[in-house]
Amino acid sequence: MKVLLSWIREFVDVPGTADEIGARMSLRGLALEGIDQHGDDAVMDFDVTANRPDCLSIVGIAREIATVYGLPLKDGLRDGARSKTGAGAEALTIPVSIPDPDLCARYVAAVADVNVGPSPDWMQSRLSACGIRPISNIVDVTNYVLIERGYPMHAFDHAKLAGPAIVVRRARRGERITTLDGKDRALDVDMLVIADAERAQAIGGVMGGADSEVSDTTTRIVFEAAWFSPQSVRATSKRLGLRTEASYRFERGADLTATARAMRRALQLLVEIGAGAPSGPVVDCHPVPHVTRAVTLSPSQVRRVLGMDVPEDDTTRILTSLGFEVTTLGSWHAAAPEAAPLTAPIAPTGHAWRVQVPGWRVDIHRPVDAIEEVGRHYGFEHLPSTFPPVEQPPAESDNRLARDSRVRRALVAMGVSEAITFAFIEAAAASSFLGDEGPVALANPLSEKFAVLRPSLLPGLIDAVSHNRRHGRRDVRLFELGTRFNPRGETRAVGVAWTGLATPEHWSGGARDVDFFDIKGIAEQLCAVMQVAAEFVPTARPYLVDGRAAELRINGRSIGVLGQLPSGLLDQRDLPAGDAVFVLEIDLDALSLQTPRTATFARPLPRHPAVIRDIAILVDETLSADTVRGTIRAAGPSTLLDVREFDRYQGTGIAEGQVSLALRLTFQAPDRTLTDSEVHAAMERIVGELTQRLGAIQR
Amino acid sequence: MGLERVALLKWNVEDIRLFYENDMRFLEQFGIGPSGIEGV
Repeated sequence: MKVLLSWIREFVDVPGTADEIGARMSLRGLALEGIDQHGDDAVMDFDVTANRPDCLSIVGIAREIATVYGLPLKDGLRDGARSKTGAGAEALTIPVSIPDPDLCARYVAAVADVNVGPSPDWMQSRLSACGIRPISNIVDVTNYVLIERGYPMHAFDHAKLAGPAIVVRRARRGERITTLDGKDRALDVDMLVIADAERAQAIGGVMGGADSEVSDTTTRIVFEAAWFSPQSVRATSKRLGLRTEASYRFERGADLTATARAMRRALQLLVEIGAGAPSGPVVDCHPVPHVTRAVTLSPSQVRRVLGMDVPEDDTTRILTSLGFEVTTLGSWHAAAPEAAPLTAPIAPTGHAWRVQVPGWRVDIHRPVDAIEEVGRHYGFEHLPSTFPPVEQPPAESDNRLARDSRVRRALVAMGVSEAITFAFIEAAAASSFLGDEGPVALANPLSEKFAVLRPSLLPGLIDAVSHNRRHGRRDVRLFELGTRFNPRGETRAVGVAWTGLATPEHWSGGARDVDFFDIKGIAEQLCAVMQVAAEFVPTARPYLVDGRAAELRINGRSIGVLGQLPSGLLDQRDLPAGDAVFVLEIDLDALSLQTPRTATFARPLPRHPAVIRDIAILVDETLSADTVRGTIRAAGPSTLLDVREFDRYQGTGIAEGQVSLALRLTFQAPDRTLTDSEVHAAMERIVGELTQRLGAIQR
Repeated sequence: MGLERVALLKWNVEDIRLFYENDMRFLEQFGIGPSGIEGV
């Protein structure tokens, strides 16, 4: 809110420079945004919070200044502006009816005879300083009242009003209006209009209509000062995309008790600048009366809420200066119901105040609201500094945090860097990762790039890989811990993306590109860290290459997926189609469920020697290592500790489609030394099963 | 104030966008120390 210091001084004799005043006001909740020198005057720009529409005016800010400086507030509104029409002339009024009083509680109208022209220089210069463009003496008067009183007004050309009459009603179906900005607008049936006997001439509280605009040829006007419902003005202004100085104030709440005063001020100014004179009495149509609110306060309540002692004289001085009417009540027995949450039992002998809220303070509803005013103007700098007492035990630590940290450390130790990507992603990036249920779309996304909640962590990681790739970085190893969303809810997961070299270039050799088994290795390591045994089962996913995709299972339950991204997807996300990008995603919530909760205990070291046997077999090359190992384990006795594949050979001497495997089996019993015949029998059984079930040939 | 701004001051980061780009050249400058993330 831009205000001119000289204008403020019409209402309060405040000493000091604009800087000094601004510094003091900023401490009292009215922050100064900036000062512009305007000749020997100054324009002060105050930051007014949305709950204080009363401060969107010279008078409102002057009242705050007067309270801070302990000075009286001068009203400046004299009873003048009596009708100057000659004795013989007929007093002229306009009939006002309000069929929709739920949207307009009060409508004050006055007819005036005018000579339209420019307003005087002083008025123009004041308006310009406050950011309002001077238009004509009539419009300038309404804007002058707007800035000075915070009360939006309007002027109609009397000759253009059918009737002439004023009807405050909801718009009719299909009704249209051309507003002052020259735009033709369709009105909804729940929008309030000011109409004449025939049609809409203004959108109530938002903007006037072009047809009844005051022009050079206007000789008689109707001044309007009215109170419109904040919800209605807000909804209409938002729907029409039309924000004005008037709608800005009405939607925050105008003073229902000040409507007639605003009109008096306008008529007074009209006469004062010689622009015209009222041609009859003011019509005040007030279907819904103002209900004065009051709250009850006690000194002990003020002390308890603020946490400091405020002298009682200061409390009453502050409230009175702000326009509250304070009456002392002898004693107070029970707390007012609305004070309940902040009211401790109050000694029945203590006295209390009844505080009547002025009409312009639409923000004061509860005792604490009034107490805040006392605290603000007494000065929060008087609050004693103390440590807040801790009354609550600290919240129990969430074991998901410990789990995440375990996973994070393990991945960082494996040389993977942590990425953080947005939870909102493009619909196109999400499409391959959706289940049957479709994406969780945002109702009102900031842009197409943030249209849906991510169904998987992989789209974000893929784009991060793509970013690195575009910046010349070929080797990328990233993970992210985060939440994924589907229509049924959300789950926490870890995602990994890996492309480029698996091991760095080194003179000892060994540099090679990452492959499926590297990403599988990460999954196995993570499972080891979480103390669960991983199983991998081939699978198919629209976002993975067939034959290079596996599901990660723990205790038979699927908790993740891993594999290589297909070239089509790479291309879609701006990655070179020839790149090999491997990804992994694990549902951490499902993983935690499988992690053992019982304490682990040490096993004694073996006291008896192990027996090692190697076998070589020929099997079909399509058999997975897991099947071979599983068959051996199933056939072997409980003393079979370990099975390892130590050689794999295909080529000369081996039939097409066959593979030669060399396996090393370790047997050991905790309580005795195994005999040769015992192990021999076990080996016989194993070879037998391999032959029978897998068609293996022992070499 | 967002967390990024505190991190910006702590690690003397010149451009806040680096926190959203997941550029390996940036990420590799950090590791996990005994009490959380640390510059390395």
